[in-house]
Amino acid sequence: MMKLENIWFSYESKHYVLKNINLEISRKITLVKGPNGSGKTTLLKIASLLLRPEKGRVIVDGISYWEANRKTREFLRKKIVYVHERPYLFKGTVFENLTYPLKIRGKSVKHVYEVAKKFRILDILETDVSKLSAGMKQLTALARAFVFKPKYVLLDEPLANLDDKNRGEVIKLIEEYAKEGISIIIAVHGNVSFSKDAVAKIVYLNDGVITKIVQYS
Amino acid sequence: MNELVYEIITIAIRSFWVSGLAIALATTWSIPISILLTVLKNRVTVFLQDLFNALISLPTVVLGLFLYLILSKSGPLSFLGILYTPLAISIGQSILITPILVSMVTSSFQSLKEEAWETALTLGASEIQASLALIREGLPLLIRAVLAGFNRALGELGVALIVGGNIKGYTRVMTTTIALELAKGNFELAIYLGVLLLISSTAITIAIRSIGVRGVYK
Repeated sequence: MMKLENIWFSYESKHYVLKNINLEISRKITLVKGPNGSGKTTLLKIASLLLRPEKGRVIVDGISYWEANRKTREFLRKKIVYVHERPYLFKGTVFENLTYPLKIRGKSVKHVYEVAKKFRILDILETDVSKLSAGMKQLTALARAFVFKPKYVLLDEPLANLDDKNRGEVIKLIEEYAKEGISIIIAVHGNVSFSKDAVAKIVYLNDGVITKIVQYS
Repeated sequence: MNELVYEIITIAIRSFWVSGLAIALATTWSIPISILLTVLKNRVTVFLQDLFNALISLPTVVLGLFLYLILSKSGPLSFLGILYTPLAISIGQSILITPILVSMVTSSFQSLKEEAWETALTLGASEIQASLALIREGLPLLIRAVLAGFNRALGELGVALIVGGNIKGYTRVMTTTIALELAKGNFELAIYLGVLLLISSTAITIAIRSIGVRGVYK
């Protein structure tokens, strides 16, 4: 389980972007909704351990991340993947990108083909990423995030660059992964139609404050 | 004529060798420094970055004088016995070009930090693995900085003259030869070497531009 406890954060100014955030992420999908500038991306960056909160604790599987030693931090970080709204792909081919998380963990790359097939990018595995469209880049980044089945996946506007057909497919895939036990946090600013079975809660964020949490059984 | 050609070739080879060693030395410490300045963003690293930026314009004669004082017989590093050797020139040039390398590489890495570094971390990389990803992604920009540093080392005079001593057949490089031959009124060798230096510098500048453009826009 991941817990955000009394999180406060500001970017080099007195204006807090997040104010006293308390959130538990345990299973299925957690949707974080809010208008642009409400603090969704910052919340995801804190949960993905990229940003250190000014106040408060980020607890991953019972361990307070920022109070842990370097080795424990690296161990915890390996459980979490964050996909940026405009994901960055490393120079090289789609295949090289998909194998990166596996290689740094010393794992076999044989699952790459299975995941690539699910995300419909099997045909472009040998394509250089500089030649991909924005939608294909998004699909590659999503496939790269799920390729080693992490415990937590944090997605910032994952459907932003996708057409309607791919949107539906990606929603289905995310729901599938959630059912397999991956805890997924998704930041969105519009309406997204995930099935209620797959969603654990919807968190409404406005001006850095959680205004409402809707829990699903 | 043959003697002149032979002299030009040996001086040019020595210049490239000495400045090549300087850039190799400077690169070994400039890359880790740049990674630290990119990753650790605090008051100290901001100050250090400003300091490196300011040191870019350090006059070569001032650095040469400083090195002479510490390498000469009464200096604290006299026991090394490297004053008036090609190694002393290489070390001096490596110090001279370190600020250029650090500034250029840090600014390149900073432009890639949010992309390559953070992406690697969010995929579970350790800080060392993320640093390697940063170097790999920034390689064209890194090569560009190395070439710029090499160009600067090749064309500097103060350090080579003061700590090298301009000894014929040993520490005499292109810039020191030009200065000496001009003083003697022997323009032929000075002009040939000047043209060679200009051609090398232009070729490197074109390479920098071509690599830079590809590195940024690819």
